[in-house]
Amino acid sequence: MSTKKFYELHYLNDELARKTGFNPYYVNVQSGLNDSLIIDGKEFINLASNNYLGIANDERIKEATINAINKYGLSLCATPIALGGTDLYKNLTQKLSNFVGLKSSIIYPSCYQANNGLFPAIADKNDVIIIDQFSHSSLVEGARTVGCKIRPFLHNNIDSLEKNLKNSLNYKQIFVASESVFSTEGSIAPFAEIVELCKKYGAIPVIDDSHGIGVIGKNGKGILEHAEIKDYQGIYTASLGKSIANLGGMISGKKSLIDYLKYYSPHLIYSTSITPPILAGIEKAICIIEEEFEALGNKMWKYRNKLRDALIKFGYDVRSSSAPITSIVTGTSVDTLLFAKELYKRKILATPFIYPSVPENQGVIRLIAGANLEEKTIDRAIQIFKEIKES
Amino acid sequence: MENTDYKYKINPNTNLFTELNIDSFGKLMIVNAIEDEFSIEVDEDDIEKFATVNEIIDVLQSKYI
Ligand SMILES: Cc1ncc(COP(=O)(O)O)c(C=O)c1O
Repeated sequence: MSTKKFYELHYLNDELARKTGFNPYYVNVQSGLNDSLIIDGKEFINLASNNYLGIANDERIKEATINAINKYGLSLCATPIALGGTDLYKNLTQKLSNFVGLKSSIIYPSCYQANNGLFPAIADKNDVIIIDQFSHSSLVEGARTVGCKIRPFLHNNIDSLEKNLKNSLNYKQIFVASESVFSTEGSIAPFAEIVELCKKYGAIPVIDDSHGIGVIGKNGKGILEHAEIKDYQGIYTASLGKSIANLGGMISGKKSLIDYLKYYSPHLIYSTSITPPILAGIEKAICIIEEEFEALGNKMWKYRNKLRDALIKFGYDVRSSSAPITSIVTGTSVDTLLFAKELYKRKILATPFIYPSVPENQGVIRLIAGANLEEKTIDRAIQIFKEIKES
Repeated sequence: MENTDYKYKINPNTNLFTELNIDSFGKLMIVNAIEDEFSIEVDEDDIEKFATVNEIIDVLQSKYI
């Protein structure tokens, strides 16, 4: 192929943005996640971040981060297997393991990288990965790179999962993968039942708790606490960039497996280690969640319920959800962007999900009201949704 | 008798992808169900070939069943 042809094939088709006169992606933010967010110099109500507990701009986390910079500098400029590991890294992996109730953990630069690297490190062509049809791209793409049989099962459907398990007994190893809290809509996987089925069929469960850690469970410890799973024998992953308000992706589980990944996961060992200031920030965030989850969680749920109840009352088509995620059904990509545009005009930032992030014509606008917001801000947002409905 | 309860009507020539918006995982689920039902394994190249119910039947009859 000629160079010219290559570049002709790889370009951004911006037809949708032109059609709607709006591009909600890559906005130019000029502030941190305070009560309001500054975009292009204007104040917005931010319902688009995954800052569930509202701690992304917490002074204590900032201080811990700055202290770590003073001690270690910005980076050790090495992969974790070289000299990228610090005492901060070692202590934090233990703290994260204790937090979620598992034996051992490692931290990748992102959960996308962790999920992407997991299956290639533990599965081969003779295995089968049974995966919830709406699982996150990072899990799906990771599974695809193995080149093994992939069996999607119907979303959160235990019967469909079992049918797939029954038909997978000829494979060397069965894996069952799912998200805990599904990020586009807020449904929660029936994970206790999934784990039981895995036991019955000798499968290894893999759960991505990115939107569950620091969010669900009595003490915010995520899906294992929420589903009351004791002695979990599977694999656990989670992003540290959502309720933990930092960056990175953890994989936790049995010590023997984690020790194996420390030496056999290319996505970990050939990538510059997550940096000391971030590690210190995560550590502080976990301390805050351990001490203050009740108050922060109550605020998060209160805002979620208030917003959700109001939207339903105004007649919005709101997806059923068991998490602090509220998604309004908007349909086609054009309609979804037009609704996001209307919100943006009225100074609300929300997250539009369009195909291929969601199935075609099943677009949604996702709202997450973090505990950093003030209650009057939620009231103002509700008023704006009312005005849009009445206009 | 025609069942009008369904949101989408499928006939043998309905394009599963352009008309029913079935995505790549939807396609895999269809293939997996066929494989389970007939105890066969469909080649990846063949999976790429079909878009309608008729085309699925053609591929299955020509090579697998
Ligand atoms: C369910 C889920 N898994 C994984 C990721 C990736 O995590 P990270 O941002 O840490 O790469 C995300 C989103 O970012 C997510 O929503």
